[in-house]
Amino acid sequence: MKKIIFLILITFLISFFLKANEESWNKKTHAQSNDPYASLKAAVNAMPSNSGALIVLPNGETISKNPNEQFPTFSVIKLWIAAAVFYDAKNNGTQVNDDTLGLITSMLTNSDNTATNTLINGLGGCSNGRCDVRVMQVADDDSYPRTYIRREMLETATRPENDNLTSPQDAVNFMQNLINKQIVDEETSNKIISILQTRTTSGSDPFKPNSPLPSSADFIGKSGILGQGKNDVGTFIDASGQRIYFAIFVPNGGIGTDQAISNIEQLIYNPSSTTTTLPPTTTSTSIPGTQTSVTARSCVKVGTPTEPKPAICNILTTAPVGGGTGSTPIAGQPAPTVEGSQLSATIKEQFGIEMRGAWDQQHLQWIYEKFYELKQQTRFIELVQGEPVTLTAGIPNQETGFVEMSQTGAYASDKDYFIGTLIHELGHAIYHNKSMAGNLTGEVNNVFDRIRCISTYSRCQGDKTENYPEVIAFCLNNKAVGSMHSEKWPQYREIAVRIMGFCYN
Amino acid sequence: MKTILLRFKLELFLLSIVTLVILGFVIAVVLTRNPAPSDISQVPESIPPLLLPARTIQESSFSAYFKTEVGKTSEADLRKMPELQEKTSSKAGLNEFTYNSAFADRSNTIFTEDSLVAFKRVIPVNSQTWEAPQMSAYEDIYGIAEAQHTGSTSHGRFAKTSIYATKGVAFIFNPSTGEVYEIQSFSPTTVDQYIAKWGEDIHDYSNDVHEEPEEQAL
Repeated sequence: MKKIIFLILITFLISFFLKANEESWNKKTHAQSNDPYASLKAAVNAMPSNSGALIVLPNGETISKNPNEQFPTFSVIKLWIAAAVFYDAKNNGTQVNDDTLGLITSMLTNSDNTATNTLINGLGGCSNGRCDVRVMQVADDDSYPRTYIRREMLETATRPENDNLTSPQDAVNFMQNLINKQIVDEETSNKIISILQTRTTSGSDPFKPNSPLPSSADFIGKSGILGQGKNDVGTFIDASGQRIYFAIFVPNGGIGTDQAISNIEQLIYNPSSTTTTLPPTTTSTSIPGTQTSVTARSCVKVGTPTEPKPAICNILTTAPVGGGTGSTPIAGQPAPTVEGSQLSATIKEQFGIEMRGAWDQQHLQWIYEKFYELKQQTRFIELVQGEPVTLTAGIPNQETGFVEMSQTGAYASDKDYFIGTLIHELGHAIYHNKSMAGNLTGEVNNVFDRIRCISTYSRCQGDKTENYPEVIAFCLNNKAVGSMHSEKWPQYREIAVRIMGFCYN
Repeated sequence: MKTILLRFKLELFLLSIVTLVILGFVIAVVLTRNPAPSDISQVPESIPPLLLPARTIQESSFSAYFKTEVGKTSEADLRKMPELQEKTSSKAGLNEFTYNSAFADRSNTIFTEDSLVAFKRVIPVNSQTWEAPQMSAYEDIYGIAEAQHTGSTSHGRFAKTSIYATKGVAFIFNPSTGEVYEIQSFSPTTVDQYIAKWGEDIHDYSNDVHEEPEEQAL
């Protein structure tokens, strides 16, 4: 009996060896011939050394770069969060109700961070770099050995050891499981697919404006953006009608990353295409979050998610976004020219800020240019979008619950003062309208309690709610309403960077 | 026949061992799972629950909250709690005990009257994650507030105080986010008496007059 088992084993090993040799030879021969994917391979190879990609072609062949290394997920992690919510409901013998389904839809289609955090908290939440097992339950599947969910969205970006991580291989595994209807069950997989399809076809995806793929490609996927980092994970039908999976992670891409990823996707879709005809990336759609990007190498999951991670997982290189120094503004793309008559509409469309009243073109231009810059560099726009700014002939304020701003008097010609004051007023909106976990008012107020106001602004001296917007304005504009107490700034700056992702001073 | 019986017994024995090991493993996994978020902690009914995840409630900073009850806990008991600090009271005729909260300028506080706890307030906020319970969850428990005021000296001009005087509880919260900043417990009373005795934080900003010698009001 033992001999038979031994023989079977030997036969299996020999077959395996021969098969592997054959595949290797085929690959070499294929490479030497007119390889249809040569351009794609070259494009992947040309990606930055600290980036990762995995493309699974219809024949099962893969093109990759660092496919098993871990990268910050940014919003891509929302795929696992969505699955966890469905999984949890199934475990409890319940259905995902309409409200929760609405949150999932908003999370996946608009990359809504607030909705995501609500869902995470509904599953038990995350704290100090660890999430409840209910949050982790899908990511903990064997299919995703390098995927960690360790924080809520936009939380404490200065602690890279607490970041959410995955690998290109894990991300592709997720998409394959989704298409194979193995994310929880067939019904759940279909629901998630349906939501992700809406994301593409409705044109509501602000993170993928220049997709090179036609609608017939039936793209299903999720992108993630933080600072200058960009990820894109998905699956689609290529030009020959066959399904392809891909995952691209560029944690510190800088300007042009969007276009580079689009080029690669175009080459995946149609390997013989040229990418020069792609529309240029004229607008930045990044949702900035931090100046810090992280890469983790050889950090391999060991044990349960609640166990301490290997030390190597914590040895992460940190680098300011785009190669800046952390205090030096990084040159972003200049704001594209917009006709004066279109400025107000553009501000609303691109930043979610409605400019109410008869604003003059000069002030709208100032706002447009500054908001464009802030959207590329910081979280500011994300935190204030939806806030209307009403023109007032009186004193700027947010006392009534909405921002009123003036364009006359000192604000008529002093751009820095105008912008600083506007950011101050919108800072009030962040203070009052965003959760403490997102706006860190508690931390700023606790510093205020120790060292008092950051500026000379009189109302700020005894009112902590006036200190917070001064901190935000200094961080983003280097000029606020009052003059700055520079000796206090280091104590505020650390928190301001965590709120905004970046400070200009 | 004997050999077969022995072999059967041996296999049965091995099967039992394997079953026990698997069972033990399953039990261990179940027991070591993180507890699910606790919506309502094990506290006396008269104390509003801290509607926070279990891991937050377990923070030592909240232990005094769970160990004290209005009208029942004595000053002698409070003095045995090492986390409490006895202070000169800001209210005449009352003694004051405080312990740290997430907000540096607003301690968790207990006032005693006639040697018993008469009022206590707690900041139900995790000082690390800044998570806070939602007011809607308390409205589910307590219903519509008997009175509501806008403006709080401690929590800003938009903060609202919902008073459930006859139930002996009040909440200060952010109406935009629903986050509860503060929970107060006291002996059941009327709204007017609550405001007179415990409502000093309520502050109507609409009547404030600002003098802005340095900058304009912004």
